[in-house]
Amino acid sequence: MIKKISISLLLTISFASIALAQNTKTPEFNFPAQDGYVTDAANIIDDATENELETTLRNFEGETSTEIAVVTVPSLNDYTVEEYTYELGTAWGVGKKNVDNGIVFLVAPNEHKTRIEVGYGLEGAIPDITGWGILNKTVLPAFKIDDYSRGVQIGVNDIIRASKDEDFANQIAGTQSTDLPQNTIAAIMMFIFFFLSWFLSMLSRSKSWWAGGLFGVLGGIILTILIPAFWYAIIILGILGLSLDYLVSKNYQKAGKTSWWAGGGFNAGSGSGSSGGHSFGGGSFGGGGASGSW
Amino acid sequence: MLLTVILIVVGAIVLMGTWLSSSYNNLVTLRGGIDNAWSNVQVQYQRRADLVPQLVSTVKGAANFEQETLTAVTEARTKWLGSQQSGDISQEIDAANQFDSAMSRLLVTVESYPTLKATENFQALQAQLEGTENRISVSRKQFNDIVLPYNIRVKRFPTVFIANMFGFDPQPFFEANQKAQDAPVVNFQQ
Repeated sequence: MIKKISISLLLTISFASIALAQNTKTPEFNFPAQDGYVTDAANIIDDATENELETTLRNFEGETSTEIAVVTVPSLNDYTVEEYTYELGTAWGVGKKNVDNGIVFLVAPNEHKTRIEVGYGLEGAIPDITGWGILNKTVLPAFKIDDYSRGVQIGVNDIIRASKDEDFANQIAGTQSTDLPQNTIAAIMMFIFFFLSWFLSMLSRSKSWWAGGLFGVLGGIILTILIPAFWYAIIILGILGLSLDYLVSKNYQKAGKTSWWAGGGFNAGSGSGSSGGHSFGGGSFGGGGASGSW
Repeated sequence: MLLTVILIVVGAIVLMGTWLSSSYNNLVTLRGGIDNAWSNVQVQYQRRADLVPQLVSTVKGAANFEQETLTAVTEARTKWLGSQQSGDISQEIDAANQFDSAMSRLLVTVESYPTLKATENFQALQAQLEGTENRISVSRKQFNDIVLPYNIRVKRFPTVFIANMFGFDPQPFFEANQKAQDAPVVNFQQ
């Protein structure tokens, strides 16, 4: 009886601590839902300008692969414009992965703050002083007379003009490795390794910790059908599979995506879910750019 | 029956080895991420250190600019540069925090010199300074973000054994010290 109570108590405590751990997250940024290249959540850009910008930015990405996101937000949720823009750019992954050629042009009309956040890859083309010049010389004068559509439009044109010289097509091609296996043995080894890691990652991703045991038992049954003398393989493979799955599932939950068997490569479906039919390429930022207020 | 025992033992050894090597590799990966993030922090502070001489010479021209604020920044810069040779992260963090507070005091003091702020020279410098300060805070945040999961791993059972065995020590966070967080006092006499 006491044992029972203590077990249930233990379970309750552990569940409570899990719930607590999940609750201690940072305050919400409440990013707007991404809506193409121009996300006008504050509703300050007129539709004609928005459509025009959308086309301009799509064409520009087609030419140079540089991704520019224009975002207006009704509130920064008490964050500074620098923090908010950096986190939004990182969360959306504006810019191509590894070359980091993304720009976020954010306008917060209610806080009277704006920022051009420049990805690592574009810091050469748009140094802070250039971003500062774009904001202070062309954008802010328009914002001061509440002409947001014009301010955003000339701002985007200036950004495009400044970043035009940088061509990322070669760099992107350079980051893709093209080495192929030297011979068939290596190819087979690769296949076995990838199959194994895929299998393990599947087991670890699945919330269950018993599926591996089931696979082990199944494998044992197949083996028994082939060689009847190995009937005990059912038990051994079952236990092995069970403990393996338990181990990887547990470690996966603990470590997030850092475990080698659960890492990239096979998570092809990630990064989807944004509306507007366009999602950004996963670029990152280092805090470059310029801010302004009016 | 013997075969069963052997299979179980072999299975256990394989499992143990897998766990050991994956935990070790995990720690190595996290450690590498920290080193990378830290060198980025250093790069950004170096960027600030490079701007200081220009800032000092620009500000010096302003009539009656408080000499002590300038001296403090120059000294903090020298101290930070010196700490780079030590290779001791907590010592570097200390020097960086002093550099931060001296710098923010200077930037606040500048606010009370409108004629200085209006010069084109200073405005260009200010754009660079703002960018540098923001990069510093971003790189600090990225450093702390990566130290947290590492420290948790290192202290957690059962990884703690591997961490102790191979010398993976917990990392200090880059926290602003009390001095840096205090709002600088502005002297309005001119």
